[in-house]
Amino acid sequence: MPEEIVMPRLSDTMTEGTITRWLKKEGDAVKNGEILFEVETDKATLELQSYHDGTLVKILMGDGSTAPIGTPVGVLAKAGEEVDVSNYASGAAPPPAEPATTSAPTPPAAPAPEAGTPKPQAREATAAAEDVKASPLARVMAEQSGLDLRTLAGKGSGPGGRVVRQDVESAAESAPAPVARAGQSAGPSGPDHEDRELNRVRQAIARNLALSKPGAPHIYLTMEVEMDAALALYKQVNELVDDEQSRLTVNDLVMKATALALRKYTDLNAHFIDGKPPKLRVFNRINLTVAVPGDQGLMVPVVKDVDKKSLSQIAREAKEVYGRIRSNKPAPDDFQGGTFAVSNLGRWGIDEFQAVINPPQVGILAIGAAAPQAVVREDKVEIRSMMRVTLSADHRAADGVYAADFLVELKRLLEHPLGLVI
Amino acid sequence: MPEMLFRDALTQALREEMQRDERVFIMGEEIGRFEGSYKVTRGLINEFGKKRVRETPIAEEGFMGAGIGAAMLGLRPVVEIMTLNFILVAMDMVINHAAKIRYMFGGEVQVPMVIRTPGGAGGQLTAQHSQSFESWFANTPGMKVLAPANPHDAKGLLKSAIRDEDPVLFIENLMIYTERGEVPDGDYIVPIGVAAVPREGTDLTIVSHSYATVRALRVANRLAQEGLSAEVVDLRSLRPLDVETIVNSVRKTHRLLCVEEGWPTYGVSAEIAARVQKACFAELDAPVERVGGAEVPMPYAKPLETAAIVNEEKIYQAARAVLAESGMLARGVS
Repeated sequence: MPEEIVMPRLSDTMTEGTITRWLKKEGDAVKNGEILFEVETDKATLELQSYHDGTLVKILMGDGSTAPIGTPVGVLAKAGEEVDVSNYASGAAPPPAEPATTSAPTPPAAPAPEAGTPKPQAREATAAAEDVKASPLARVMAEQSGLDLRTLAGKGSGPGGRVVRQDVESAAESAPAPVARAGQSAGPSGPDHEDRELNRVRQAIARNLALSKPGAPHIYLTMEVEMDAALALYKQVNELVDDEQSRLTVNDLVMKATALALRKYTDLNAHFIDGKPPKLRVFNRINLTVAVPGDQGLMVPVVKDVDKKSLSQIAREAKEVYGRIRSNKPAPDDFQGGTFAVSNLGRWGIDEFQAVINPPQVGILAIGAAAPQAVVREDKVEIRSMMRVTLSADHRAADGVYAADFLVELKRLLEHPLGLVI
Repeated sequence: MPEMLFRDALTQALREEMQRDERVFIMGEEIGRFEGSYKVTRGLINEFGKKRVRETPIAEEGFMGAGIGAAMLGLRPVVEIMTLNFILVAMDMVINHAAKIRYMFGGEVQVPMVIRTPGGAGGQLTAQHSQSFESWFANTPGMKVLAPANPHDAKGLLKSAIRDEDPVLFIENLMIYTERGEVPDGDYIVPIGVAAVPREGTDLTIVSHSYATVRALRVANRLAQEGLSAEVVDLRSLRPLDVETIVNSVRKTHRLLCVEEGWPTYGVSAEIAARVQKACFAELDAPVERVGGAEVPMPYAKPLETAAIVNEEKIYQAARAVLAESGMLARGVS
């Protein structure tokens, strides 16, 4: 059997891809590991390599075509294999549009190719469920949920369009009426996030900035925070705590303050989805990614729902997660779901530094050491514990003024730290 | 709990078993004054004397046979073969005698013997001294084959092996001797035929044994940083094989990667792939993937040796390939 090359699924958020360039021509020999084509997704331009030796006998979707994932884009014949290329139609029809869901308010930017020649009759006519390429698990799941596997034939996200578990799951998910889905997402916990298209001005900003800073164009803002009140609170709390696990660190206070500030400045608690059109995915939960030194290098575990937790709860959970990292036994979701990041080099006596954003996040806060310094208060020189925090923000998501307002709020929270306790 | 090296955990098991049971003795090349090529028998000759720490000539077939005879007559020999590669000259003794005697004597005579020996590669010892053919023995009815991956299991399994009534091939590894881990003080055993799950996960099961497990755990960490959750099943025992633990894991993750240091053709990974597809075909969301040593005699040149070994990059790529088969990842994305 010749191998159908399909539009790969290259990220969790990808629904379709654009072939920017084939690196092989029809008739070219292809070796396992060689690059077949470049594909542009909602996130980046990536290369697709072949997993087989053979000959590229047919290109179904040429340079510049856009196709949903799973659509056949080319045919690879293995050595010695005769292939009747007339069985494969150029510009193969994309699979029929999926049932509309409430979460897809925007039409795709690039029009999908017009439905071309239908797939060969022979394949359609004999397509019993057993003939559909599917993993054993997908087959069982389809049977249990009463899903007709033939509706997914050739459109799976496995190799050659093989139907796998996630295809059955998403088909089952999109099956109920849209009303039911809307009802679900409006449940008590509310939706997890809101995707917001960038307005024209922001889109222009994003496009322009990419010319001077490709990737996430960072801006950096530094602010000094007077930490005497926060340090006094931290000492008081720790005198009351007899359980070692619940003892606070300065970082726990900063995390809580950051989370509370993010509640007001939600655009920084987001992922930048670099698609067409670009979107900002603003999260309802505030899960902080924390930079932690690991055995083999920097690790970035996540402490979840920091804004909703008490300081001692944050202290405990942070200690637990660091412990798991140190003993090399992270829990499966320790690295998942981060919405904003904090990196603290204060313990090492670093005054201030600039941290690099962890994409697709749009902000990271770099915390320096709180150290006694001479400052002027009411025309007098006083000694205060000053700490410098530097926000790196993705300029596509937020402007300098917005980022500055966030820092002002963070400073207010840390300088009046009772708000962190109640 | 004290931490110690893999090799020291083995020494502790040998010492405690020799103290516990005076029928236990050890035999092999250079295991006395030289304390063993990999220092596993360090200090034992001073403590137990030449009668129970028997130095042998370089004559594997002869002293393997002597061990079988001693076991048949009621002693409990632990025979050290300097590396797995040298067992070849004693194959007739192991396969045709040790593994068969209980059957051929109608169950009246047993061979409670342990053969300890390191396999593995990575020290530029080249083609004849870098092999991992434990599957040949695991293929043989009448044998038990163990291959621990950490100091805790090394001590507990060696004790189980010494107390077992059948011939046990106890596979160590040239690279694993310096692995460190927690080992409880005093007497405990790890049962034969029970696999361990040293790391839990949800997306993919990686099954391995011996040093390949050490590597698999490192790869699981790397995958975790990418948000991919791999569960590692450490076989510990190749024969008998704990299929249940593997299958339970696959029921959870629906994807399986088998890793072994030896050549995969007709190997441990082949056996596991066959057992799993039979036991839980309908649970699989992707074809079972295997990765093993390159099917060549081990080269001497360092870059070639590195390329031939099951290194972590190969395991990582194989893991991603399995996930890609389930549509979870792009295949071959740079």
